[in-house]
Amino acid sequence: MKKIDTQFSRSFSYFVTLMLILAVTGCSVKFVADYDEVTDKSVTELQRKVERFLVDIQRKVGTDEAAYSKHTGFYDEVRVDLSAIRVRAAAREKNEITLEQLDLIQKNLDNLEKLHELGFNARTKLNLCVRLLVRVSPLS
Amino acid sequence: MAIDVTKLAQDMLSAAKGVLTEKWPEIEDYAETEFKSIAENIAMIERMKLMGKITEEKARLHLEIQKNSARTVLLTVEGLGILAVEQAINAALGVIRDTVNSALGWTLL
Repeated sequence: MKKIDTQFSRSFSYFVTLMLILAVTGCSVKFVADYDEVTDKSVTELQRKVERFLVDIQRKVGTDEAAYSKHTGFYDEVRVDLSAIRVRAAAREKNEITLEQLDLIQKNLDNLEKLHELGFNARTKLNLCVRLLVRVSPLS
Repeated sequence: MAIDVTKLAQDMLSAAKGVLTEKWPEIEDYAETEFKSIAENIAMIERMKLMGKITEEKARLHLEIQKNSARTVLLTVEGLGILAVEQAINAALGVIRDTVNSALGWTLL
């Protein structure tokens, strides 16, 4: 009984000491990464680039100027931009949700490109794609 | 028969609410906007199909864009994980699957 009491007493002491340390240092458990201004600005600029492109394409739909072959550079450029944003996001801890969002944006870029290859229809609501293609917030 | 956008959106919303009960107050506004967009997109596809101006492949791509966008938006809600979002989206699309596929004559969902 005396041995158990001693062991319990020791364990309890360790526990109290640990709690005191945590209280003093103000430890908190983080489940997501902190906000990153650089990523936020990069995504905002990317959104502007996509919107400019889609506004331009919407105007040209039905003409040769809207042909996919004339705009492959846009998709390559956005792909490179997204890749750079993703590399930075991947370097931050607890950033899985942002990475998932960026992957979804990449998938949507791929889908938009396929749609473009098949040919946009004048009635296609590309503005919906604009609104929804790049939505990553709050960013980490 | 024309797809009822309001009913479609409401059905999706109810289904998602059943999955995300705890977080619903925070997510409701986002979910309402996104499911309305999906419903409007489906209605657009239906109109274009009737005019012979869209193929099944294009329709599928349009819908995928909307679904991915909804996923992206819902993931912005703090505390909502990837799995929970996917469950909510699946529940929402599951409840309208028969209606949409039947109306369009394509297995889009």
